[in-house]
Amino acid sequence: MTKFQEVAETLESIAGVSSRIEKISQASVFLKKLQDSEIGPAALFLSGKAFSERDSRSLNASWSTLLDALQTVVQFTPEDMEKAYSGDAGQAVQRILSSDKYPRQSSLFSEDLTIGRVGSALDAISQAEGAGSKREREAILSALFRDASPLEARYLTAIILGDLRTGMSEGLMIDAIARAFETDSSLTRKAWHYSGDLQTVAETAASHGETGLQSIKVELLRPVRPMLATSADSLQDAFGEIGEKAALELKLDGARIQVHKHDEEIRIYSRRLSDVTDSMPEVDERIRANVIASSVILDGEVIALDKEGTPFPFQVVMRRYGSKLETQEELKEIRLRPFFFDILHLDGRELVELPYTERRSILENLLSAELLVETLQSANLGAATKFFERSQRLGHEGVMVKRADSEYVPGTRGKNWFKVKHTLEPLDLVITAAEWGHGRRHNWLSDYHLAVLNKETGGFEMVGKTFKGLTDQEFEEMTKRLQEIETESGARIVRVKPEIVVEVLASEIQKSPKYRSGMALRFARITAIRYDKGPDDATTLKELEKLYEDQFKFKAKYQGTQKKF
Amino acid sequence: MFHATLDSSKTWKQIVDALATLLTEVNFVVNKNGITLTQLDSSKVAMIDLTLPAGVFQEFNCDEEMQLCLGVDELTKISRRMAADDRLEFDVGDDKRFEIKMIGQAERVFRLQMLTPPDNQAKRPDLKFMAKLEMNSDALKQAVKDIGVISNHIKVTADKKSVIFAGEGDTGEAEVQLTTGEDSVIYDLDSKEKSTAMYALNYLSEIVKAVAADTVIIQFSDDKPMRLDFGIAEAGSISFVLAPRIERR
Repeated sequence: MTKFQEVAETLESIAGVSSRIEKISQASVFLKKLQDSEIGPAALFLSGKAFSERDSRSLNASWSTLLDALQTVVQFTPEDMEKAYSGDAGQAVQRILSSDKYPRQSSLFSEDLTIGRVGSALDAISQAEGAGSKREREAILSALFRDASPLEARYLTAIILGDLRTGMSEGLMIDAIARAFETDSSLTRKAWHYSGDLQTVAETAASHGETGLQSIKVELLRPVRPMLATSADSLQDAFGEIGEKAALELKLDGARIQVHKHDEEIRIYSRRLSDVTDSMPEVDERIRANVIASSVILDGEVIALDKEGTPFPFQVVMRRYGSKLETQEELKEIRLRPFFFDILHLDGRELVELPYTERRSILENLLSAELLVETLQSANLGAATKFFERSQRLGHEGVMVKRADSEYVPGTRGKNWFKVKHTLEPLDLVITAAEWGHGRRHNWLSDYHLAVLNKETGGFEMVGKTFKGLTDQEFEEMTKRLQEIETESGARIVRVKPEIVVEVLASEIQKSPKYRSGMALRFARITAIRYDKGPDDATTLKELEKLYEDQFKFKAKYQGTQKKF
Repeated sequence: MFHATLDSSKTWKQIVDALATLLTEVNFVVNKNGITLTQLDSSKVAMIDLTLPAGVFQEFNCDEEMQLCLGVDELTKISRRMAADDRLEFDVGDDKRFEIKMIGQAERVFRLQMLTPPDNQAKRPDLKFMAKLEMNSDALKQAVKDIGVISNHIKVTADKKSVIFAGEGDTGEAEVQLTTGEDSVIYDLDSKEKSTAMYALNYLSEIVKAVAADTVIIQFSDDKPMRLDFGIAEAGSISFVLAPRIERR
């Protein structure tokens, strides 16, 4: 039985090297040492996960639950924790447990943590439900913390909170698995994309090698990681990448769904592979009534439309997504509608390796137009531009530009699909605070709090945050400038005098209770540092409110109970 | 096959309440001699050891040893439905369900799905104690409440003649001193040397809630677990073992 200490030491060592090749190599050496039953869980732990993605179990353990559990092991004060915490929860726990200062609760029986024990404890936490579940989760966690070394506790915390900062992504883990068990890396990756289950892939690679991995196929009622698109700044850029053989689709501003139908059984999965069937009965109904196939896997988007067929903003969709339908009344007002753009499986036939145009024609044969995402096949730039403009008039988010002869490659963000989005006119926003970055940005103030000017009060009100848009050199320079005007410096956040103005592009303005301004930007990124502008030149709250209203020239407005936003 | 009857629903409630202090699942071992349970709580800080000899029950039949693993939540909810003068019947038949019948003005039956028992039974820790005392259980409950006003732990000190419960917190200190003698709430004290240990109050206050007997026996040693013993259900007995908090020096 392998001790969890060895997992923690491997994670510590992986975090300490910056080369990806070195990270992969260390992980693979470790995997090779393990017993069969430990390989799957260890692969998850090393990539910072408690359970695999398509696993429906969840831990329900927040930072405050962890703190309560830790408190039953060592007695520390909130001030002690504040001192120990500098942005990394795992490190804070490690510091608290390393100190000799605090009284400690002992246990009646103590035993070392092993990979197996941590795995079953995490499972027991996920099983806790009902009246005493909070107490039960806390008790299991405190037993773990009591037997853990400070280093083990650090990585246990990071895994439970899903906040592991080792740079070991699941993608790298796949390479480590391939290397450890001498399987082809792209075959291993494919098996992961098809199954959405790192644990199964690790176990299969270890026990049955390439033959085993080959037998992992797209399966009905088991979600596949969706294929993703790369952002392009303009149609020209997207065409530049793809060349002449491009197909365009409207990019709907909704939520990605993957629908599996197997005889009478219909399941709807989210982009993150969780089952959301119960939260959208009208989508289920529509598929039941309109999709005539005994088995099918469809990829699409669900959006909310008003009575005239104009889409609501994304926020309205999210209100329904993943939450149980509250009342029939609301169902009438926000009706979710599925639109599909791809097909992965039909009546026993796997389609992912067919070229896009063939999949599209199979899809068109299967579905009526009202279930299809509108497309423009074999487009040139001129026609594409018109299509792009049309997508804005229709109230959609932009267009997708896809390579006509490309396969469906689950889970990848490659050079075959591009998304081009409409943006609002640039805003001039003032930086009021900045947060220290993570990973390779840890030496920079790289996450900026953006504010508009409130002319009535003369103050600045936050409307969003972004870490996107600056080059390394600009981050470095910005960090220096911000430190010079700092007014208050916390462990994570540095507040500054409102002086620096940046030009920001956002895809949407939303109403939001998150900030006092009542507004929030979606997908904000900095496009320029405006040395020429001062805080008085910034976009005002009034102007932003006007821009918010202007959006509804093309989009439907939700007039329901606003308090729920 | 298991069959037992109990004339007093109050006794059953006491048993369930005592187990609910620390456990979310109970795993009874039933054989011809009676019912026993030895379990650690999930955090492995405390242990419950329960013995209910067959004589506790008016009728008791068990032809082969079995494990009865049940959810505490369900047991508690069912015991709340019992009327004070209900007579109880317990049965496990071939369908592997635990049946509780309440016989009063109506005859009510609850059948519970049994859970899978854990792979291994908890062992009893091997403990020797330096201090042993028998005291009035209400006095203990009061002392725990007094210390709880100020502190989240309780320090117990015993010497030849007295027992001190003490605690300190951010806001101050509290102390309860009990001395042996006539009319004392300490009925018996055996501590040759001075012994001191500290325990988490949240566990201790749960445990003392379960005490339904008039007297309780406390045993402990320096920085070692504490054991509390008291009677339950007439001829039955229950003990709690609680691991100490250790101060770093």
